[in-house]
Amino acid sequence: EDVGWAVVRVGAVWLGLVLALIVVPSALGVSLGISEAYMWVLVKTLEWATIRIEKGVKKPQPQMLKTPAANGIIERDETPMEKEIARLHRVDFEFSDIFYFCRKGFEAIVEDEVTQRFSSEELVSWNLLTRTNVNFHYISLRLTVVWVIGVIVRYCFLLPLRFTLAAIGITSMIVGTTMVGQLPNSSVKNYLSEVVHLTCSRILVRALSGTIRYHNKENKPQKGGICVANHTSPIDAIILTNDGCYAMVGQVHGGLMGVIQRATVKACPHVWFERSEVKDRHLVTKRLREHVADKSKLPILIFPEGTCINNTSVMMFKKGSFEIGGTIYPVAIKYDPQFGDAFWNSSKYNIVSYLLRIMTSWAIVCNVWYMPPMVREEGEDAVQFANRVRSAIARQGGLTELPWDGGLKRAKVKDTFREEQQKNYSKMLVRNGSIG
Amino acid sequence: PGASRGLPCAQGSLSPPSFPPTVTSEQIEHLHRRFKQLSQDQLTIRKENFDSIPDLEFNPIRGKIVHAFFDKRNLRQESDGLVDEINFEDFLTIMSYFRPIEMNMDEEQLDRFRKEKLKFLFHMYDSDHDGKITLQEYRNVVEELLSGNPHLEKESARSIADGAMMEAASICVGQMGPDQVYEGITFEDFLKMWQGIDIETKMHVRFLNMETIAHCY
Repeated sequence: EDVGWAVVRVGAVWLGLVLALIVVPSALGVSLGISEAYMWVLVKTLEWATIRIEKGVKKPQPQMLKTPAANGIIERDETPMEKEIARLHRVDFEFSDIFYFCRKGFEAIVEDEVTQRFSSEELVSWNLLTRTNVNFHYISLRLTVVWVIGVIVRYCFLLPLRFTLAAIGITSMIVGTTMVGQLPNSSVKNYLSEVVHLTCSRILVRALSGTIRYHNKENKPQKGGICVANHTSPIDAIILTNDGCYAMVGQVHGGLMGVIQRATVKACPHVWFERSEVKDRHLVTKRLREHVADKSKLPILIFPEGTCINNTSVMMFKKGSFEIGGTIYPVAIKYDPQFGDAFWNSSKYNIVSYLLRIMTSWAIVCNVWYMPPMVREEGEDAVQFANRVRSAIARQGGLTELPWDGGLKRAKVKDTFREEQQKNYSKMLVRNGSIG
Repeated sequence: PGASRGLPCAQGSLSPPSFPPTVTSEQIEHLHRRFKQLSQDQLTIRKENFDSIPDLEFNPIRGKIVHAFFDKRNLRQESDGLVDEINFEDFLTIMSYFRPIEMNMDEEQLDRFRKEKLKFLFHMYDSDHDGKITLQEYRNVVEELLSGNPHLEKESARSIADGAMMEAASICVGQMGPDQVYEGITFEDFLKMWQGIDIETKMHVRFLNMETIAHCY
């Protein structure tokens, strides 16, 4: 019985501390400096670890740091097809032309630009998490000891803390929005709903030990606009709502997510679509257009890539979001993978194991850039506009641009692409006067 | 399987009898990770696994390239035909056909190197494995390369192939009498066609790392 009481007392003290030190300050938007201190310790530790790893490597190389995987591991010859084949022309065709295609094929097999975007970014140096320990081997006893301490800290201290915070955050979100939803529509209701959303977002961001830096806040999305951003993980939405209120757009889910969706839509006009409605593109566009036309409604938040990419590049933007009209506010989000990998590889991990990985990382550190608004220009169609916005986001976030569709994560390339290449090649042959 | 082939993959060098051993362990690691990606963490790759590479879909001779990975002749096996699946060792064997030339190779090694690469190409053309590239096989390759263009009729594709074969015949056999039939390009003829042309630098995939930067070709 005594043990039971002791446990309850410890639990109460724990909860009390959490509430006092984390929940209340974050609700008020005040910082006690605890996260800053934590980050400082973390950065110092990782720097020390990097130096030890560099010292420990015996190879006589001028530089330890490997080239980042984003730039590729093989040397690519970017000579266009015409030039390369013209160089080889001695026998008139295919005997030599096949070299070019053969080599391109092999390059693609060794490394292709697209598939590598669907797996986590490689780190330049180890960050003391087992999951990123791909290239790095045992170095020294001290490093291993630090790693063990890290594991204990992460799993025994940080994980329960974050879990508690997440639970508090989600519960208060559901309860808060339901209560606000009971009120009649008025400016008071809107104000209260914004307060609730912001507070809960802040608590959830603390639950992930998130350190977010917002740049160019003067460009923050205004009411009646559309906010588009690159997509890396489900957390993206929380990262953005931490600093402002948006109307979310998405499909209705079941389970806990569904409960949250149903509760929040009462307080704030989020746009949730049923599964069946998603297929009907005109219906979707119509609803979004109605929402945007009402200038008093919050800006809608859309991720045009349609799927999670690993934050080293921006893939094709689906044109649907750009056909709605209105002003587009682009936002670039770049995570720092050194502290924790935010990318959700949905083919490898389900949402629960993903959240577990996030909560046992060191922290989520990211930069958010708000960019000046863009509108569709005269004579520009939706696809060109989408590409323009995408280039701007990629440039700002320091990401590469790929014309490929994120849907390639699961589907195959359309045959039309291959036929394009064949057409180009045969056009070249015809031009060289090789026929008749 | 590793022991019987005599390929010590775990160490830093591959030494099959005809290739000089200079693949670094780093490169093997990269390729191994790529292999795992393609095979989806299985021990072997099948033809279907190559479907997941979008860049490869672009390629008109994709079929032949994938085919080459499963061709027993390229895998240095005694028998003929195709295997169903390949393991990492086989994957490395095929990739080794695309190794760049090293600075420290002598004449004999360079010659062998070149022959191996040309043999690989020869096998790509010779789809029925009879050791000759016949007119029909050549036409097949041309059609594959050109099939995307609707304006190019089949007849044109055939005439391209026929023209090329005639030229090849004239290089290999010289002037043919009106009754002579050119059966097909044998490997020796194939080698003759490529004499004097530098293919080694066209047919390689070079890895980026600190070592190659120091070499400065």
